[in-house]
Amino acid sequence: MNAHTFVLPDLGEGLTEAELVRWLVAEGDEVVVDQPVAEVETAKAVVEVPTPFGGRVTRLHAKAGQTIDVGTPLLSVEPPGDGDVRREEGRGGSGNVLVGYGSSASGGSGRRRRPRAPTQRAPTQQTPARQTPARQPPAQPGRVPRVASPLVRRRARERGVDIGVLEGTGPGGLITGADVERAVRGTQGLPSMPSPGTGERRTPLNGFQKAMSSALTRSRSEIPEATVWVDVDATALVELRESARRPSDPGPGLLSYLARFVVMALKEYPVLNSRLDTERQEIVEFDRINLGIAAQGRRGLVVPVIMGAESLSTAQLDERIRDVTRKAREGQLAPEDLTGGTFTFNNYGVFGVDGSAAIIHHPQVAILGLGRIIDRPWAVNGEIRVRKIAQMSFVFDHRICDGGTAAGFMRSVADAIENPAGALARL
Amino acid sequence: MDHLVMTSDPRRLLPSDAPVRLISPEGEPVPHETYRLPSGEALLAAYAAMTTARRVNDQASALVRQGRLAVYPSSHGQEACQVAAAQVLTDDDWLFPTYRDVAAMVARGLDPVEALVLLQGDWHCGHNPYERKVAPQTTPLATQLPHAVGVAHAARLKGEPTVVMALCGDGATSEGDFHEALNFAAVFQTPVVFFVQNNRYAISVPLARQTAAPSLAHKGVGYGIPGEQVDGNDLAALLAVLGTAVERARGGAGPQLVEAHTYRVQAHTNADDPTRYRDEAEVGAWVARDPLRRLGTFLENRALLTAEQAAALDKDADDVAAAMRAGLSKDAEPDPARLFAHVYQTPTPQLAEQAALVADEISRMVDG
Repeated sequence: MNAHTFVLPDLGEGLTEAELVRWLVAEGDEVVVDQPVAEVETAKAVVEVPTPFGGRVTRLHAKAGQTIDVGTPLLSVEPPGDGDVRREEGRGGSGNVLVGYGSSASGGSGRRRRPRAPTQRAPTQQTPARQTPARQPPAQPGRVPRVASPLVRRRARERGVDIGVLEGTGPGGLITGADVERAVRGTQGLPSMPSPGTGERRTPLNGFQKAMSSALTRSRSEIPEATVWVDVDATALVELRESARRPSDPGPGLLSYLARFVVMALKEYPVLNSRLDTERQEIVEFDRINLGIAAQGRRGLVVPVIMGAESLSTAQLDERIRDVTRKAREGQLAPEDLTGGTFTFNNYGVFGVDGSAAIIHHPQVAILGLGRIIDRPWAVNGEIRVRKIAQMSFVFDHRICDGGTAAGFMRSVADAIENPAGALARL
Repeated sequence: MDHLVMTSDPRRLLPSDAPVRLISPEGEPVPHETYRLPSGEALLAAYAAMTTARRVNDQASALVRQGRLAVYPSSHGQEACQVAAAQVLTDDDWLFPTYRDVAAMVARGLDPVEALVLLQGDWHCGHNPYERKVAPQTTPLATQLPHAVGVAHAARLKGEPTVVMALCGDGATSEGDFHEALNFAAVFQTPVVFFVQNNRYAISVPLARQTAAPSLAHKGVGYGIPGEQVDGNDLAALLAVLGTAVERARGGAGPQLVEAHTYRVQAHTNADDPTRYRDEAEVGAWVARDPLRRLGTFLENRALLTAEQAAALDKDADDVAAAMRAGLSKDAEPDPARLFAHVYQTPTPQLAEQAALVADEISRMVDG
């Protein structure tokens, strides 16, 4: 006999998921129609869910603690031979017994709602993945998109379209669902959306990707960023690094020197080691410098944080950097290794690229990037010489400082790279 | 100056000091100087309807948690009010329900499946309002009250014997529509009974934050409408008080305001968690005053309800519940274009434009 499968319904006017608190039945149990089978917690309330099918429970599709999407299977019930089974009197039936789910005989405290563990709900609800950032310019600050319909907003969110940049074709420039679809087709260069399920693969974002997605989307939608860049002659620094190399001890890596210079420059320009409290309209500068360093991890690029970098020497920085890059490679970084950064140094040169318009890691206010260091013909004292040249880029939140400050900061790092001996005086 | 002298004696408009009660929470009769206990026959019929009403509430609450209804505001615990509001009416009278009054609509004779079509998410109210003289349920608070007054006023102008039962909750008494409806009804002496089910909560807002009046029934005096308050879990008292109000209105004495003191035993809807704003002890105290058990005890003690009769009523309620499960097993699939079809007899240019925009949107959507 075919089992009926009960899918999780929307339990509260527009919810998309619920957490399974506990099962009230087990596989193999006989259940009757409307018997409570599970206790679930939605964003709004803890709710006992009654089964619409009677019979024998053949499968529980989730485990306690798991978050279940609305519309996915909850439990399967194999019906008995003769229609639905009614609950017997005396088993707390749904007939004339005065038990309602709002005041059920749970015997618990007055407050059944428990705080949710932070890890169970990734902070991605508000801003799901933005799939096509590269092709769309960021929204212009101050421009309010003309969208009347929540359905259109949702469609845009699901399609990864930034409504801030869409031109509406509806009345008075209203953005319609069709405008969103057109934007999707435009970014994909396709005449129409492929029908779902053919020639495409769908991979749900994992928790880490969701969190990244949320932080990046927030950065691009909130921060009016500006970028400055400069070519740096790193010949002297490379020579310095090589001169410290010993057969027994390789000495500090280039990255460690660079990190040390960044810390130095941040002390000179503390406004760049801060966050913007938009609610109180205050810039919050931090005493500590927690330096995020991009590193290649097992499942992609990660940004582990060197805490308290302001008090570390170049050698100490080197030790910490080697430690976190090894952990990244081995997939051993703990969540706390990846959070709490106050500034990020993005050494994207190791990926063989020269430049990048990086995205600031919200709520940080700036990100410094260094491209690959390669031999280039360079004019030195009126002569063409082969030098070790890299391009450095600096993206900053224009709300917290002007371009002069940003240029001053970057120049400070660049000068140290070009003249490390001179930098010693400032360390 | 004569024209400043109000015609009504304010003392005549005041409600009883305590809510009218004819049967105690323990099921014993309580003598009253004004109101008399309805006949055993009437009480048994009311008990039967209340058994069904309770079952309709609980089955609908289960259906909403099974994804068969979009939302269900249950009147579990308020069934005495629901049944009395319907049973004091004749076939000529109108019922204007709120979203929490499905059980009253069923008590008025509507098929529960039809009564729940709106809450299933369809674009229409599921029943022909003229057939049983039951207006569509309204979701905005108190908007049905001016409509109810309008129907009553029209009936009076046409010389029809219609009385309108206009339902609302405690929260609705803070709305402007409540004021406008009561004032118009009083000035034009329309045959309306304003029946406020004071279940003590407007979602999470308790009565103490809703009003500073001595009772909601006292609000009538300001309009020149007599107010009365009644134990909302005592079906006998409700039949007596509401029945008197309806007959009074039918006799040309104008509107009346009746406040029933009752309690919303369950959550506001499935999207609400009442444990966040009230104690289980408070709920428990009201569950002990359950209207169904109160009347059942009274009838059993007087041998007006036998065990066989009670079993038969439960069986009938089972059948109603089974019919609800069967009738609501498929999702409503509303056609968006229909939204515009019945707003005005002749659509306004703006509405026609909106309809065209929606049709255009739908036709241009690749995946519908």
